[in-house]
Formats: sequence, structure tokens, C-alpha cells
Amino acid sequence: MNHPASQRIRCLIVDDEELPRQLLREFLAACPDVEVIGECANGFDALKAVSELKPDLMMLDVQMPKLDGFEVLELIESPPAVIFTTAWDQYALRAFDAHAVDYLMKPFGEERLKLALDRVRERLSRQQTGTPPAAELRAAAHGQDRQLERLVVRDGAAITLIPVDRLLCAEAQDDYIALHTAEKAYLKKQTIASLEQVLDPQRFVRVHRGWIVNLSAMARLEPLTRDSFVAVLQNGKQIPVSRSGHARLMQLLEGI
Amino acid sequence: MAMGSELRGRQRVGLFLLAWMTVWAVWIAFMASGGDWTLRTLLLAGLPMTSFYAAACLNAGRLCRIFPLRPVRLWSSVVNQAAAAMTLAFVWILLGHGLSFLIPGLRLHNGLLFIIGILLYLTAAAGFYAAHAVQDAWQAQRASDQAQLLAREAELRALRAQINPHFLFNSLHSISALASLDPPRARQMCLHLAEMFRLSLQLGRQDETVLAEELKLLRAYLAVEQVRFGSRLHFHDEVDGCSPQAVLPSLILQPLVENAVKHGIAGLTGCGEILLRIDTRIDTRIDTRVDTRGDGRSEVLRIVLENDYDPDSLSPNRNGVGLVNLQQRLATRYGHRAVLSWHGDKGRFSVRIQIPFEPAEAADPSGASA
Repeated sequence: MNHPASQRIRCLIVDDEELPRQLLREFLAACPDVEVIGECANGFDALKAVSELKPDLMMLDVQMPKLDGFEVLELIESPPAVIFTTAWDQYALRAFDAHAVDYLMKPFGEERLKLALDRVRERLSRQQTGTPPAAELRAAAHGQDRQLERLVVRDGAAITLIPVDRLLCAEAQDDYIALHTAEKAYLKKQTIASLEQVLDPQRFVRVHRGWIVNLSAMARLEPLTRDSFVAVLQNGKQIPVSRSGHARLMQLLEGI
Repeated sequence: MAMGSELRGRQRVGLFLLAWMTVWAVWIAFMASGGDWTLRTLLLAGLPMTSFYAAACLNAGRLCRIFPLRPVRLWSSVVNQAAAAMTLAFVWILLGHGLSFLIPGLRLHNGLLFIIGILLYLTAAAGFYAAHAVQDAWQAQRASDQAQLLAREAELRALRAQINPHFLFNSLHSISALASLDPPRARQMCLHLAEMFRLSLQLGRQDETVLAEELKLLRAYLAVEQVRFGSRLHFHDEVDGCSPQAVLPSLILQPLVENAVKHGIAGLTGCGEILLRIDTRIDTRIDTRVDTRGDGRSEVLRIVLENDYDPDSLSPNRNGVGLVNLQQRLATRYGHRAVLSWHGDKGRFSVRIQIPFEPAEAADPSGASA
């Protein structure tokens, strides 16, 4: 373990535009304890670079091709400290809840970046590890934000983007959730409660403690016992519906 | 519009009663002038005679639409309406003649009846012409109010879009980077940004402009984006010789290209192309209503914009809302003569616009019409 005084901060710059990357290089060159170990122009490269280079700090742009900054962060198992950079202030809340150290709004100056680096040093000196999973924090931030349009899943080296309208249902399996699409099911480390929060409540209903169903994939609702029901999807899949899940479902269906 | 489609049942009955009572009044006066009338002939003959003519006069409304009083075909309309009046009056006399066989003692003055018939018909026609003029003016007013409203909205949207924090802040960030890396380019970018804002504010105040002005704004905008995106953005355009003089609603082109950058190029990891083709051509659809060349065809301005996008991205049609708004704007101004279509497939998105070609007045060298 390095001591804070002697610790060098190995930094990865991620931005799809070249000029912002060069500007960061210029600013960071003035900080003797920061070493820029790489630059990435998109989310996929960033994921690769993080696993290969293991940076201490990532300067992460939010809006990028393919994977946005939040999705990148969500897909990293144990992410480094992150400073988000973006021209959009609507992401500020999400950035902080996605355990970012700081959040810089473009255009930003050298002084503002130095403040952010002070916070990074402080965090690294406290040897903070075990940051909460990005997806959980992201869900918390999403409470007041717009709904997700797609889900990202990492399966070994492969990354899959699942548009939410292709998600038929989701099932809790211990620490994971199984995301069922027409083609296959994907496993993701996330709780079903946090998934529920990021999905559009008009389209997805928590019908059971362990199940979320996509309304547009549902074919019919059948009684099972006096108190419980079963939802049958268009592909024939049967999903248990609890009493409170049934109430939520009916409330939504009556509203349509 | 024919009478039938614009009047509801109750209105039609009311109008008929009004016409009927008018004809009754004239009929009573006519019979009284003959001197030899009895209540029996007055009523028995009056009922069919007045009913027929009141109904006939109401049909004048339809003929008024077919033969409008416009300078182009004024004489043709006058002759046709006169012929209609005479024909109806003649049929009226024949009806009276037929009735005089059934009703003993009924004698009608044919000459006077003919003149009354013609006068009644022409009065009805005059009434309809006046009503139609009022109605047309009202509709035109409503259409122009709506067009103005849409133009204002478009203006607001355009201004919001250009003073959009995303674009502005990113551009300023790039200038900030260039300030130390390449000061002359930083200065150049400031100038392009200023030019872009000045032009878009100017165009935002106008309902319409010439294409040359739209292209100027577009080039200033692209100069800024080119600095940000560098080699990722390839822009090509082909604009034929007469198109720059075409009049069109303002602030159409740049927002379209901005969409192509935002939803197309910005989502690509590699480089992408934006292709703009503008030309004037003869409309292949034959439409006599927009005949500007005398052979049933017309000249149109055609704008085609194509851009690459990431086929894996969620929604290549995310700018659909903007396009629907544009469609409304074009439809308000040009009606069915404007065509707007868009299509995204296999990483290539294209938008096509076709509007009537209206060259600007040559006497207006500034090019911009208010």
C-alpha cells in the first residue's frame, strides 16, 4: 500500500472528443502527482483500458458513442475513483449517486479541476474501497430522473445492450436478476428492487416479490388459488402474481 | 366546398325556409299584380311553384363554387350563371304552364314570371358569393393565424435549440482547449460561433428566407462542429445553380443537419458522413392546381439529407418529433404540395423534402425577404 504523500494518481481520460482530452492532458500535466496512463474515445475502449491498466482515477465523459459514461461505470466490477465531465447539468445528481468523486461541467477551468483532484486524493488517502455497486446508486438517482432506455449486461468479455422494450420479465435469483428476452436470459448482479426503480412504472410492474413483468408482453391473467394469480406471457411463460402484485396490476390496467 | 358539406341539417332547413318565404312573398306580389287571383289558385299553384324555386335557388351556392368570381374566368362565370338563371326561370315557366292545366282559372304572365325568376336566382347567387367571400376570408385568416403560430413555435424551438447548452458549452470547452493548443484556430472558432448565433437570431425573426441564407447559417454551424468532431465528421454538399435563390420557411436546414450530427455522427465511434443534395427539378406528379409552366407540371425544390448512424443505437428516429413539427410547418404553408419523408435503415438515415420552387425577386439583392 502506498502512503498518501508518495501516492501517484494513475489517471485514464475517457472522452469521445479529442480537444477535451487534450485540454485534460494539459491541465493534468501541471499536477506532478497525476500521471495520465491512457486516453479512450469510447466506452468499449474504456472498459478494456480499465481492466488492463487498473487506473486510480478515471476522467469520464457522460455522452459517448455506444456506451455512455454511466453504463461504463456500471459494467466495471470494482471501479476506480471517477470524475464525470459533461456539458449537461441534468446528469449532476446521477453522477454523484453513481459514487463519482466529483462532477465537472464543461467548460471548466484548471482551478475547478484541482479542487476535484483534492477530493480524489482525500478519497484515495482514506483507502476507500468497496464502493457501492454503481447500478444500485444509479437506481437511487433515477428516482427523480427519466427512465432507462436500455440495460447493459456483461457476460465475460461480451457486453450486451438490452433495449427495455425487449425485456419480457425479470426474475430475482439470489444476488442476481435474470433478464428474460425473447431470445435468451441474461444474468446481472443487481437487486430486483433497484431494477424496478429504473424501469418505467407505466410499462413494468412488480407483480411478485421476485418478479417484474413487461405489460406489453403479457397475454392474460389467470387465477391460481383464492389469493394468487398467474400471469401468462405471449410466449407461454408463466409468472406468479402475488395478492399485492395483482392489486398493482389491476390499478395500472384500469388506468389505461 | 359544396353547400351540402358545409351546412348541417338544421341550418339547411332554416336556409330553405328563408328562401321559401322570400319566394312566397314575391309570388303573392306577382299574383296580386295579375289582378285575377283567388285564394285557391294562389295557394294551390303557389305551393309547388315556390317550393321548387326556393330549392332551385339554394343550388346557386353550388354553382357559385364551380364558377367563382375571379378575374381569370370572370366572363365564363358570368355567362354560365346567366345561362343557369335563364334555364331555371324557363323551367319555372314550364312548371307554371303545367299547373295551369290542373288548376282551372290559373293564368300566369310568362314574361313577368321569367324576369322575376331570373332576378330571384341572381339575388340568391349574389348572396352566396358574398357568403363564400366572408367564409373564405375567415378560413384564410384562420389558416394564416395557425401558420403564424406554428412559425413562432418553430422560431422559439430553433432559438432554444441553438442556444442549447449542450452545443454552446461543448463549443466553449473546445475553444478553451484550443486557446493554448492553437490560438489562431480558437479565434477562428469564436468567429464561427458568433456568426452562427447572429444568423440564427436574424433568421429566427423571419418567417421565410432564401436558401442562400440558410446555407450560410449551415456553414457557420458546421465550421464549429468540424472543430469539435475533427475527422469524425465528413460533410459533402451538392447544391445546383438556381436553388440558392429559392424562398423557403426559415430555420429548416441547420436544425436538420444538427439532428444528423447529434443523433448520427456523435453516436459513431469512427467517422461518419453527412450528405446534402439540393436541386430544383420538374415535379413528376402532374397537378394542374400548381401549374406554373403551363403544361400541368411545376418546378419544385428538393432537399435530400443523408447521414450515417450507429445501427446498434436504440432509436435512429429519435429526431422524429422534430421532423413531425417540420412536416406541420410545411403543410401549413404549402398544403399537399409539400412532401417530407424520412427513413432509417442499416446505419443510413435520410430525410427528403420537396416544396414548390419559389425564386426570390431579382430586385432583392440582399436575398432575405421579410
